[in-house]
Amino acid sequence: MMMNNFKPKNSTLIFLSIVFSCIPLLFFLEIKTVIIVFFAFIFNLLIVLGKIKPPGKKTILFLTIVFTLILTINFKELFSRDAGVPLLIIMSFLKIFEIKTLRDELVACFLSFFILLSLILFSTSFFTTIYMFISAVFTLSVMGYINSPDKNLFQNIKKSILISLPSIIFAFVLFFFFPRIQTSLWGKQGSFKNISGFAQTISPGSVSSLAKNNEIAFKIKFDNNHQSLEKYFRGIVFNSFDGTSWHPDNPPLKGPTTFKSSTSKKAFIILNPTYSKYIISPDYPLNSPEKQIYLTENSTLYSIFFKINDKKAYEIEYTNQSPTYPKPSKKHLKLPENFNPLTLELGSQWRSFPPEQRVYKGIEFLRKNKFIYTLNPPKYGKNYIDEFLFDKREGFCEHFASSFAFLMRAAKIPSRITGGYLGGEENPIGGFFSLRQSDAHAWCEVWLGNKGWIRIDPTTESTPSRLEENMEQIFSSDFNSGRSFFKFTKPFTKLTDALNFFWDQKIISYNFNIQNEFFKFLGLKNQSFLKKSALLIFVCFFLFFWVYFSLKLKVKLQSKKSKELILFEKMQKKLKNKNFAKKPWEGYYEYLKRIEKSNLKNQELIKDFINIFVLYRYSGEKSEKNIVKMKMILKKLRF
Amino acid sequence: MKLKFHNLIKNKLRAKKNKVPLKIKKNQIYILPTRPGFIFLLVVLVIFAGSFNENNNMGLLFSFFLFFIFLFSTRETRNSILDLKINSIKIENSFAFSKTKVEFNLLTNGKEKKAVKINLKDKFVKIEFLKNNLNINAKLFIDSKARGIYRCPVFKISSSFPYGIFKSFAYFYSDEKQIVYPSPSKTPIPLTKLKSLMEIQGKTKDKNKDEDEFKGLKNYVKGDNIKRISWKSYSKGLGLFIKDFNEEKSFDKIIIYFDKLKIENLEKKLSKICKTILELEAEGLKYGLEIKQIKIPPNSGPKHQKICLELLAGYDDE
Repeated sequence: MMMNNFKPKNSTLIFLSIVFSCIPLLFFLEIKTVIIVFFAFIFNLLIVLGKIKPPGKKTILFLTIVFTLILTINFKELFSRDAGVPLLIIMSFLKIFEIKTLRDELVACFLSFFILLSLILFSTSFFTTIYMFISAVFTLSVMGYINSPDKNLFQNIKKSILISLPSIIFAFVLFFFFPRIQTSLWGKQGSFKNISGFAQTISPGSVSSLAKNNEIAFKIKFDNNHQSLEKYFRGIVFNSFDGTSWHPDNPPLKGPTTFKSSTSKKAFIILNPTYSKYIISPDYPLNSPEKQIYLTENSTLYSIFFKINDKKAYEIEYTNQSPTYPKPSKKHLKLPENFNPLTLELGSQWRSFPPEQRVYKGIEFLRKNKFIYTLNPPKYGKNYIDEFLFDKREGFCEHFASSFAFLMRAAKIPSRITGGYLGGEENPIGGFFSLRQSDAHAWCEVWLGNKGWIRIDPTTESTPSRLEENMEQIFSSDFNSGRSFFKFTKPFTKLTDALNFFWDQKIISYNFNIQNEFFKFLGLKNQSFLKKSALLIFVCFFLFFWVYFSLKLKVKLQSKKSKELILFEKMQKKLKNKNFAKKPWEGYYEYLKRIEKSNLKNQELIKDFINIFVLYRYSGEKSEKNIVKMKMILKKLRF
Repeated sequence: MKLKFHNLIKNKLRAKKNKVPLKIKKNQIYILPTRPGFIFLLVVLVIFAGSFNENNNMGLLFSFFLFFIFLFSTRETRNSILDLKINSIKIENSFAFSKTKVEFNLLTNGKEKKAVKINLKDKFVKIEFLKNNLNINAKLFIDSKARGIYRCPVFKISSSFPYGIFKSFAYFYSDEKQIVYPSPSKTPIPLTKLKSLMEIQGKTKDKNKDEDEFKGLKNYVKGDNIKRISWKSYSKGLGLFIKDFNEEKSFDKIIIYFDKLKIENLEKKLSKICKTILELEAEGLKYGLEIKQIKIPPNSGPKHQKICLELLAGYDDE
């Protein structure tokens, strides 16, 4: 019987295609996982290079169990993204040594498609997509190589590219026309670790921990073309304070379905995974962008069922007007007992003043006493607000915000803390703003009777530069100086960012609603799923036959036209402007005579050309010399 | 069920005249996914279902891409046997339950073809390359069936180039007959028995019985029957001599009377006769065969042997 049919060259290529598919994944996986995968890779490499004998069935089984155990111990859950993907990679490596038949070889190639696919769990950027397609074409070429007898990889790559190009076009067409659903059919999968995202509580250090995180939190494009003044992006509202940290209502109470405002603006946001249920909006959102998201009473957005574990794109209507809803309640004044007596004392002193003055007193306090805005605040004890306001006076935005809110509550002004982002870096190519995790910020909102909830940012009151500059500029000494080395690449990153934004906007965020608009644009309103499917099938058939027949006809036309006719047409093209082209009803000799009579410039050359043409075409003697002569004349012909 | 279906296709094909010489046209090609092809489709489906549920546009796009690769590769696969010309099929005669050699002559007059396979059931021949405008002969050894004369089997020409996920195939056959001789038995019919049968048939043929005696020794000439070498004289050191018998001359012309042979099982009988013919031919004797009305006069040589064996192959009781 057939023993282990280990063909070194085929296996090497399959190995390569798997390696190609995992390269970008290594950037996203944790270091320890990368090390495990790297071990598997080295092991494979040695075998493929012939340094070690390929393992037997028992060894493969043993290795599978060992790797599975390592990953399970590391991640506790095997079917999560971070453990599943490396396991898939390692299994694919091991599969190479199980290859016995042609089918096994092909299945190993299919595994590399799966690895490629797992990439989208980590990144869906434009360049990831391009990499995916290139890598898929390579895997296809390897499949071709395995099947073809001549073992010419280059030819197979060429063939695969030729097949892939129309496939990509068709895939896009199908992509736009394929009927979408609003909700998922069954439960969404995936438990992700809380990698980054806005803090769920506000306490000393909760926001500053993000300050050095340069990842993009979200991108926003404002509908109005003029440059936006929106700098505050709201995420969470924290209503209750327990002495050490501020907490949001969990879950936040539902507000009315829409708020009304005389000034409504629109913006388009692409939010990177926050791994929480809070959704960012510029200033005060007016309604919910989706069914599964509701507007809270605090004028923030909250996802009902799912955490935002994937990139999310949505259009939002918002206003800059301070909301007058909800009316303040007890929770906006509640303070824990036996905390920060000094601040409590100061606040209660102001209670006799009218509300606006009380707020002003607070701001004044911040301005007059020199507070230092720093990324590395000193350690604070139990009464950290007292310590911050009266003693150390060094802190990050969370210190400012919680102190100010505490002070206001002490002065019987209803107040709350809002967490979100402040700032934004404009991308002039894409016309959008990017906000990074380092732009995370916390500020206060106080209730001032008829004016509603007024935003007071204690941080900018004491450090006005925070409003104008981003973290990197303010704390340039805290950021690695090495980053300036990459400054010259900035225009390039702007361009790639713009491409990614466009990609996210048009492709990644394409959904039920956008598809409906697309159909409306085509003049098809309110289509049912069935009708859409029918349309899709129609479009596909049409495209398929169109491409198929156009390709076929082209080939036929090209093969039917003889060399001399092509040359003659070229000659005619050169003439066309001169009104001396051959008329369809003219015979060649009539045409020749007409040329003779005319006062055309290169008369002799054209006459020669026609004579040779007629000789070649009608004499039956097809000598290549005549073709060459005609080509020579064509070169000489100039008008 | 499967067999019935297979036969149905076969009969349809005969009606369709996929007869050699044949240039494979589009409507003669069938395309089906191979087993890895089904796995591939499953992969695409899994990716699609997951992405559709999660509303993951990238996954959808990727699954659509793979799906169209799947579809478009059918065209390539079809082209890998399209316009292929099968000029002829030559089927060699063979003995029952042995191997039959079949030779195909192929020609491409389109593009060059790769990884083409011709098969009959599990027996196949791979033709790795078919350069443009170049004749290629391919040999295929198929299992011979029981004795008889058969129609040319329907061969399948196929290719799963380029990705192995689809297989395109077409059927073809020719008017050539597949002739299967009876398989030769272990021992031939003894000469004496044949002789006695001949005597019964008619003594007129045995007039020269008197001359059936040892005539003497003749010098050995290359080509003489080794069995008749006089080893006695050779051992005496006299050189190589041939025993010259008169009686042998009458055995030079042996006629096998089929009907006179008393062997009950027809196939066994044919096998015996087959072996006898092979032996007689090997000995260089002249032999004839008489079956019912058909009489093949005594002769020798491969052509004669072929005629006799074909007669046996085609023997029908009725």
